[in-house]
Amino acid sequence: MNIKKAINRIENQRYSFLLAFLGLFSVIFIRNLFESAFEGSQVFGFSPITSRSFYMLFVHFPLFYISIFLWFLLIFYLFTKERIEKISRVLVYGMWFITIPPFLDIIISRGSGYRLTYLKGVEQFFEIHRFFDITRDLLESSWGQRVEIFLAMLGGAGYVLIKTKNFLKAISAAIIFYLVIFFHGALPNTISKIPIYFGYKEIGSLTIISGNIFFIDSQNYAVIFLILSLIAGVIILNIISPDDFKELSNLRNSIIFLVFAISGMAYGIYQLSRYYQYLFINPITYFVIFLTLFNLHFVIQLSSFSRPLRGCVAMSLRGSRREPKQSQGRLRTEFTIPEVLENNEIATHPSGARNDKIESRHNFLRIAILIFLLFSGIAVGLTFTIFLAIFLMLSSLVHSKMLNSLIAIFIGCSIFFQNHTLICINPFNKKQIETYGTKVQAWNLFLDKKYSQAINEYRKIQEFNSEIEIKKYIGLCYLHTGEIDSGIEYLKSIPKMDYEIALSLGDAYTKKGEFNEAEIIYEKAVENNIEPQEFLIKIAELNARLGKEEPMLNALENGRKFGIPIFKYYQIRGDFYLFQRDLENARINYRKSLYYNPRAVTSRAGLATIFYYEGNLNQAEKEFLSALKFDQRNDALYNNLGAIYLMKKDYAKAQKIFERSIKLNPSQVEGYFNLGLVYEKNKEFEKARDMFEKALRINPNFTPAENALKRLETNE
Amino acid sequence: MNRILRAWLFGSRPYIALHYLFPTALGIFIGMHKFDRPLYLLPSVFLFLAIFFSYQASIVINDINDIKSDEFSKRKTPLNSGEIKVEEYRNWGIVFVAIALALGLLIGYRMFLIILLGNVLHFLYSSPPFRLKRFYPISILLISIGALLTAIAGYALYEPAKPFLSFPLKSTLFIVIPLFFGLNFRDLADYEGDRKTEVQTLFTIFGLNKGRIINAFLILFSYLIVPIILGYPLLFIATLPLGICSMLFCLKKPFKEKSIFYCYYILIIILTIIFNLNPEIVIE
Repeated sequence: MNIKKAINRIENQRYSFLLAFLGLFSVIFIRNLFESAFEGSQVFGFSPITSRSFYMLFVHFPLFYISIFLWFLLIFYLFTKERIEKISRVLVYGMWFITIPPFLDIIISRGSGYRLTYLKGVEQFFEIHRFFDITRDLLESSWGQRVEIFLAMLGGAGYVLIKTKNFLKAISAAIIFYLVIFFHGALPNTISKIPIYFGYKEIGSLTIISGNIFFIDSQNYAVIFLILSLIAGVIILNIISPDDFKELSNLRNSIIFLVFAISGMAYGIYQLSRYYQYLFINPITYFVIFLTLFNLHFVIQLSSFSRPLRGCVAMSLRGSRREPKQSQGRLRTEFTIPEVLENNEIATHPSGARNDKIESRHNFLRIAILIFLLFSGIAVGLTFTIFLAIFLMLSSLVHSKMLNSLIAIFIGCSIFFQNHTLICINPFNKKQIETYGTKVQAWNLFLDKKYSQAINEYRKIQEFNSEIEIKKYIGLCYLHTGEIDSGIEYLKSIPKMDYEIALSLGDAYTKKGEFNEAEIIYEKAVENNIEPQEFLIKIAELNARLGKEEPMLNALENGRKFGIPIFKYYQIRGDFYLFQRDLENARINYRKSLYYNPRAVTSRAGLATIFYYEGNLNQAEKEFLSALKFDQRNDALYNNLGAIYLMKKDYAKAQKIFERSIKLNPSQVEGYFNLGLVYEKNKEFEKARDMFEKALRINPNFTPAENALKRLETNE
Repeated sequence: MNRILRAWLFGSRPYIALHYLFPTALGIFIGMHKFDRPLYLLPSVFLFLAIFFSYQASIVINDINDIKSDEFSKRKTPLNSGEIKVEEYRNWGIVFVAIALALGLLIGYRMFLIILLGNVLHFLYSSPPFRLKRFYPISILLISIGALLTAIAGYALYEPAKPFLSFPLKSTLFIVIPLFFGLNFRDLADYEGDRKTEVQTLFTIFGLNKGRIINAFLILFSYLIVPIILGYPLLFIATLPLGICSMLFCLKKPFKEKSIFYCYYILIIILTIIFNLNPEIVIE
């Protein structure tokens, strides 16, 4: 009874649409910010690279939740037939559920935090039960998530039950809510794999979702969630106000500009596709085109509200609510009053501002469209946003069709050329177009781990483009292909060290065995306050490996001040003892580490290695398999597991495991060497030689491979 | 312009603004000592300004949403005194938020996020749809968390990667617990308005007289808990008389907010001296 009263009270609260949106966005922001601060393996803000972090916090993740919000709204409406705005008020309150996971997870994980990632796509549809399977600690599904989803389902079902008094409907609603959440998690990666299902085998799924015409993967995710939100939003608008929906979908004002925008896009496609071969294969391209056209159409519709829009501008300039002048705009169209707003849901405010019904209806639509445009603008890019804003201003103030058509061409073009639009729109500027196109191609090859091809592409443009970014990526490509010296040379020539450079250079020196150099790089990063926590861990790991106890402990103690997770602290100590072959102390530290974080893969692998050293192969295998449950892309784990099978003389299994390891990381020596050993055992000497040679090509100083080759020659 | 400036100064509530700046200074102090680094002067100044403007923005949001309540309570704000119009006041609020965020961004992206989080919390506290100030004790907890956030902001000048997790637990408790118990007196002056607009406070829940007594004991408790959290019993010499004074000020009629703030500032001065002599007290 009390719940009913509370719901009624919430349903009848009055506040403007903008405040409702700000409230929703605030809740989403709190969830994401604390997830980034508490989640294991993350830094505050999700990524050390600011642009990535910005997109994740302000577009990608908010749009994920906004889309879920809109779809939930729709489902509630279909089940209860309650008025949408009433449901939305309850749902805004219900969205507080999403703040649970970061706080719950940080408590349950004893301060370590869990690592949450997206569902990988269509193949995980078979794991649709994953959030309810409490018998095992599933990869990437935390207790916080489970509680959040359970409460969302329970709350949703409860609301439907209160409104309809029908248990069947309530249960059905709960199931559908779960499916909405699940599909939102799985959809982006599923979409990205569509070309693979169509037979374009040469394209890795990674490239498609993280690359294409955008340089930040979150932009691609944002585009998908924008489209999902758009679909739900349009259906909702059709429900609450069919007349407005009809008016909004009327193309008569916008068709001419859409044609110009399409021509701009055609030009962009023509120029870019000459250099970037995956443009049409990538489904995101079509989504971006679709989204751009919608944006342009909405801007035109928005400019047709010239009276309130001008009023808004005038008001903000004057700081008072005087009636703005009537517009003379040619694009002017009036929306009819949606019934739902006519009844009672006029924006009211304690300030006592009295909006009339028409203005409040316009306010609602205008703000909704502006929010959509804002998110689209950020998702698609700054240049696109600027052109869109210019278009909006021109169509509201100047009313020149010619000027607007010109800007529409720029808008169409900008989605392909981004911040190079003004240069690349000139067809005679061939060199610049080639540079940009090649850069996009190289970037996508880099993401697709085709490093040699990426180097070729980057080298093509390096002659006439000395951007630091290009140098950096050439360096990184070299490191990935195993040409460590060239990689180091490139990266060292960059004057200002950033996070990626420090990380890659340090790893490169470590790979080369130049540990002092690596330590200097990491120390520099700490000095410059570049993710000190992460680089102190690196210093500690390095010293643990070298058996230097004191510097390791110093780095760890210093790292504790910077908040390195306690499980990591014990794990590195465990590593140190393991390298010293002090198995008992290593075991104690690894167990402590696993107490604080049962998903600590390295600690579990360390424990497995202890069993391996003790000759307990079965237990070692069990621990490695357990570690792999939490990190299925860890090539080192596969190598170690393969080594167990090799010891057990299960060569078929070992071969399979080593092949998997090489597939995950083709630039490693150990995988090739181990696979060579398997071939040697199977008396496939040619293949074995090939593998040892491959290992030596990556690291010419890798003595075990040299010895193995000598052994083969002696045998022959 | 003069009129606006006057209205702004009139509404700035300098006592509470200072109260937000103290935790920031504490955060910077902890950062300096924990990481053995010098004072980053310019970023610190920017941060103080950012928090000051953030607080001004929160006052604007609060005043706009509390017009009715303030009228009932006869609280003077620039709005109900007619100094400034709502729209104009709102625009100033937007300007304050923008300045605070810009200053945060000048320090760094992560500071921008912390400042934004502070503004988001203020919005959730004062404004619909949630207007969390209606729900006791969530309201008072949010104010305490707001103070903690300003301390973390100061600390994040030195540790930006995981400031929430690496901020010392002792300092967290030292900020949150005393403020949570001690800040109820802020609602005493707004009793009438809160009662009529259905905002839950200690006084609207227990009634004015009972509420006053409970509040008096809570404020004493908040002073007494400080030496216990810090593990520094010598501090009782200062907190006990100050706590008793604050308690008596709470019971005194007519109630004067300023007197309680004076006690609070005396404690801050004493703590500043002690922390400088022995920083380990507040850093784990």
